[in-house]
Amino acid sequence: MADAPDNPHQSLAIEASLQGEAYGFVRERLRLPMGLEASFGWLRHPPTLMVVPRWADGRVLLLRRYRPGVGQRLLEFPSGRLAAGETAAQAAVRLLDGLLGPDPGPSAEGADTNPDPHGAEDGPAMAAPWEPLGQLRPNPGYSDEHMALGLVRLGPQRDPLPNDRAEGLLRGDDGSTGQLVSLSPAALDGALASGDEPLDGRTVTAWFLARCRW
Amino acid sequence: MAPLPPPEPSRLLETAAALDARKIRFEINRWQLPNGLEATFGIIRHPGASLAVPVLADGRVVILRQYRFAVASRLLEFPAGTLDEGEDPLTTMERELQEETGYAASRWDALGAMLPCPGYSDEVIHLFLARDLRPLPNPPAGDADEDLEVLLMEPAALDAAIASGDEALDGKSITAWYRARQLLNL
Repeated sequence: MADAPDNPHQSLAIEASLQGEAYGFVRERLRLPMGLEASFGWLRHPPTLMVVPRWADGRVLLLRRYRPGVGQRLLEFPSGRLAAGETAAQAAVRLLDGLLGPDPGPSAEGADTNPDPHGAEDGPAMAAPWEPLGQLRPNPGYSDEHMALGLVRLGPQRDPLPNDRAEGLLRGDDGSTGQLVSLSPAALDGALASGDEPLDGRTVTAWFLARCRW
Repeated sequence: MAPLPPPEPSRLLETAAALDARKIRFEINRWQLPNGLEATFGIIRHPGASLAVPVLADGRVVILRQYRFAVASRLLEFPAGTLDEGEDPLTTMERELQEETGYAASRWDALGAMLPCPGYSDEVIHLFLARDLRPLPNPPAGDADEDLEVLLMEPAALDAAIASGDEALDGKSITAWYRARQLLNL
């Protein structure tokens, strides 16, 4: 609907560019649909995903993740870049296995209580189904990043108490490190309402959408 | 839950390269992290911004359909703008609300600070709820490069649009709407 690029801008010239390891930045002269011509800077970013993992007991899994660029430990759902040719559902399995260890597989109980509505396109390895929540543009003012948001209901065979995981469990390409946190929906809502918590826009958006289908 | 950890800035060791573009700057930096490790990555330096959820007396929200070249789409967004140097975020928001929507507000509540992309941008967006709105007979002109349409939406219609799967979702607007709904008890 509204996402259709019915009247996109025109690129007139790339004035300068700077390539980082994972993403690059360009300053480009554009003609906007309204007719105005000007130079704009924007980040060219590979596609990403963020997953809302729901434990069988109803809590959600988050990371307290150190972000060097802002010098703070933010409360975030697991996220990452999509590998070449990888679907969001496959990437979610990779991310969660990286955090929690390999999924021991759906138990009989889990298979009964956790039907897979998207399994046909995800392949037989898809133990925990990916429920798409929406397509986020985390920063549409100066980044072309597309982030797929989805919910994964973890089976009862997963360990719901990974509280012994040490700092440094997760180490991102950007130097970020993280620690696992499990919260009830009410506790997460309370943390986000407290005024003390710096709000990660991607996480709050994913949570808003997950709440719609809780 | 454990109390929020205090800020722990990383130490900037070197800016290997940088590129300026209007209000933002992209730097490739080498950092020393609080745990002693060193890492090199690119980051956008941004002056910060403000965003408001404007709510009319009848409960409808004032929202924009705005063209964004970086994603080649027209997104549903609440009014927002970049801070001028040294500017108080509320002052920015009062100005941007008038320019972008043609309304002024006399009741403001802070909804917190959000980080749209903490992995590659240091931008902080200050969120507000704007109430007691009045239309301006002669609203001030906005920025020349803004391509937007002003809409009035019922909260339920906004919720439905966000959850529909048809919209490319603007993270700062949905974050602000989540916080506004908490404050408004919706």
